[in-house]
Amino acid sequence: MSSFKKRVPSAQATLPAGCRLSAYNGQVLISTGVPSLDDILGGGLPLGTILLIQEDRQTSYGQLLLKYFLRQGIVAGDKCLVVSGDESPEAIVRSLMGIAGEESLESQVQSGVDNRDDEDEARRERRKKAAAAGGADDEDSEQDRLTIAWRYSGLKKFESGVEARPPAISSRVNKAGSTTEPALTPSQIPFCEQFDLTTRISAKALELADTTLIDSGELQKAVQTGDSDLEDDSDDDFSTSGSASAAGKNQPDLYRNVLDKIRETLIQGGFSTTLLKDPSAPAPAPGAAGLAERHICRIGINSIASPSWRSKTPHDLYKFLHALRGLLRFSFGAAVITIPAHLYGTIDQRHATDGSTTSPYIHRLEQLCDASVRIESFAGAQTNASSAASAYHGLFHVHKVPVLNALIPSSTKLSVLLDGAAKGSGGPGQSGSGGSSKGVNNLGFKVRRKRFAIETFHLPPEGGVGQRRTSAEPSSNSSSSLSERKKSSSTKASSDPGPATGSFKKAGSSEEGSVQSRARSLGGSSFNKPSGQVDVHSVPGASGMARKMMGLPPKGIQGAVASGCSTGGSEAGHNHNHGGAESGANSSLLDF
Amino acid sequence: MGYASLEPHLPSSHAPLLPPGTLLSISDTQASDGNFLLHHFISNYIKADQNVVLVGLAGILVHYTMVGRKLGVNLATARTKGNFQFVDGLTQLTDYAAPNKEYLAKPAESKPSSQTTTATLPITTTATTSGARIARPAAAVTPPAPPKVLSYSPKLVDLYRTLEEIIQDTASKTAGSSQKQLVLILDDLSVLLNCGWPCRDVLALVRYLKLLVAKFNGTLITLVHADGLMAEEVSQDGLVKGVLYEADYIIDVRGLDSGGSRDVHGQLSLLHGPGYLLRQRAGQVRENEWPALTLHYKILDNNVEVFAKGYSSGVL
Repeated sequence: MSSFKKRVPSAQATLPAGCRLSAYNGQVLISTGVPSLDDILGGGLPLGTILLIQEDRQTSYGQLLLKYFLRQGIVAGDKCLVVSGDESPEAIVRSLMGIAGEESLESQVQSGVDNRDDEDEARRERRKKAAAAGGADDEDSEQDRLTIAWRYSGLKKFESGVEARPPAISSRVNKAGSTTEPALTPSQIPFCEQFDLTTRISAKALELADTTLIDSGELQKAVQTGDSDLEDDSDDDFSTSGSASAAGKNQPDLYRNVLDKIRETLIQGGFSTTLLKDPSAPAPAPGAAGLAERHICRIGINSIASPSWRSKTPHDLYKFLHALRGLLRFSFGAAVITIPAHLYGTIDQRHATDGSTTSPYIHRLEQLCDASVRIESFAGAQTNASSAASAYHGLFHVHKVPVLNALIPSSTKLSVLLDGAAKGSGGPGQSGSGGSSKGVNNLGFKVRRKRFAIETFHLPPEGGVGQRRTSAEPSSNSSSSLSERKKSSSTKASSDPGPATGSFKKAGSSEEGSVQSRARSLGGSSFNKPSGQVDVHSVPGASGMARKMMGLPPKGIQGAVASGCSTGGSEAGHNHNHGGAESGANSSLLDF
Repeated sequence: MGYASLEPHLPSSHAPLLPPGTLLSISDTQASDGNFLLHHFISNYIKADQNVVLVGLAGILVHYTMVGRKLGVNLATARTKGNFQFVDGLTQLTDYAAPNKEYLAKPAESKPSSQTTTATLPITTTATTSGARIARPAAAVTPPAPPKVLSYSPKLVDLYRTLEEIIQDTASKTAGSSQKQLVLILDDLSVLLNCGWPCRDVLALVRYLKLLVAKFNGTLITLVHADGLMAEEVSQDGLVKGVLYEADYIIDVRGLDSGGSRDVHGQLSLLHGPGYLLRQRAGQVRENEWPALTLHYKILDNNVEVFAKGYSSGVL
């Protein structure tokens, strides 16, 4: 036996499982379970912070993000504390998604759903091919060279999203039979796992998960009846024995009760660094218990301040957040809170789509949180913006990103999506402006089987995924489902990987020529399109695009409508976007 | 020395400090956080070896220490020396957080745990790449007393009394030598409003504190959120206007009207408060002591560039 040992970097080893250090300010980060959201936050959610997610209306993408957060916590063996009022927290935990690749052996994957990721696969394939072509000598890349818009061939590839780190699925599948998740050593636990929305969390993983569930609805009832000694339905180790504060229980105050329970969990689990389980016992020497033994407490609060959360004054929630922040700052924990923000504010604010949806109440809540994002799904939108951007499921607004231990948020330095200017994107201060400024990206999101992707928002290229250049005659089966169209587009993408598709991602009007030819070649294919066409004069990549798009005429307008949406100065040419105004984009939601 | 490019635009009579007995009100918006200005004044006062009392209603000590390090100021040694006092207004400010106290370790033991774990986590893990265990930071060997804590009380008067005690304590410690200047910084007044105290009481607190620090040759700096959206709420609007009314100097931080930009993060409006105008009328103010003007700024890693409108690096 050799006496030589491989030296492992100790700084990494001392971190708790599933954590990493920020490359910018050395903050300990945990993953939200969504790589692109991690990117926006500057690599991950810093410990001790609160992320506020303003929910979409009519869909539940906000809750989906919360589920990703909790599921990632279960992967990492973290403590998960779920608070929910509208839905029972148990239901939320049970409906968590499975890990991609782990349960595919059980053949839960239907072939119909599988197609949804084909588009991504095809794109990845293309990208790989392009990378290979770039590495090869000039002879090979000669045919890939642009012949028309050759000026643009020197530009770097247009990237709209963040590539997830490919997880080691193969090793996981091999182990899945024999070992369980927590058997992995901390260094083996991925920072961000890839999940599969078509599968459910396995019973074994659920069993092993360290969860504490707080049903605020039950709590509400107990509070009202004055029953101070209530039981919460916790799964395992944690039980509410000693009441945190006798004084607090006397007043019927839901938020106080929830906070008391959170505090108790943090203290009992040893997540807090200042508050001790037993104050009289001597404090353990600092640093003696290595960080590796530490675990993280993930607090997920679903739909806080929904009508089922009753409070006497709005100050209750302010105080709750302030106290929670004070608690978390000195704890190994982080919180993700979703809030149905659309329930607040005036009527025109509720229907506004340009980022001014924030009401003063929500705005004050944002002040008390460290990060705040807003999800706006097209399914719930009043306008038909969805038709012009069927590739996305909605818009993603970043209102605030965490600034900790530094002057500028780390995402300003690190984020690919925010592109160097985290500030002011969609902030209410700029709500009146067109928002057309360089450096601030509009973000959209799409949900695929294996990922929740937040990308820079741009119009799909003409003749691309769901669009078509020539106007089609009104056909009877105009309500073609999206999956059908996706299928057809993906098949043609795979069947025709010529130079036209290769230059597909080049920015600007370089697409004009290639896409035209491609669209022409597709002219004869059976491609169902609804009637009506809308000309969108627009510039791809320009910010403020989202807002401009909201100004499109409502759907159902027959005939050619030319709405000249002028956009702020940009060098690229106009994109003539002939396509059906009406599309089945709203049906593109995954039914999870 | 703070942000060098901002310095020329600030009152010059006591440069780099603010004239004593005055109130500087900083108002900001969510899109453009005004917190970076506080760091400027903290580092200026510490560098000049004056007293600083910082009430962290939104930020924690670690945050200010870390940023101070980037600006070249060691707040940890300043704390041991006694001319930097941090008051924790985060963990036990509300009645919701009051039971926290029950779980606090006994004073003798609370020092190491509160000082090292979260506080120095980022520092130590980055600093030690070779050691197997996390090395103790030097500060932990002789830890200064844990920060004073503002604990909950239904009346803001009690908060005032606590602060008064701290300020007197700080001033008396360093009274031996020449009379030092003092700055009291409240890092987020809006928090007090959010935590349920009425606007009138918060304003009264500001007025009292202004008078209090004036006694100790000091200056008061407050930060308040003044988003346009918040003006719809009476109490919030009242707080912003009330503080501005008390102020001698006003710095208004907001984003550009035309939206965010890579080269310009926002604009600073240096304005005259009513207090300044009164003194000007009385002839107590030198000409051009505080020129009212609007500047643009860009925050960098460890500095902030302040420049005239249209002089950003992207334009020139």
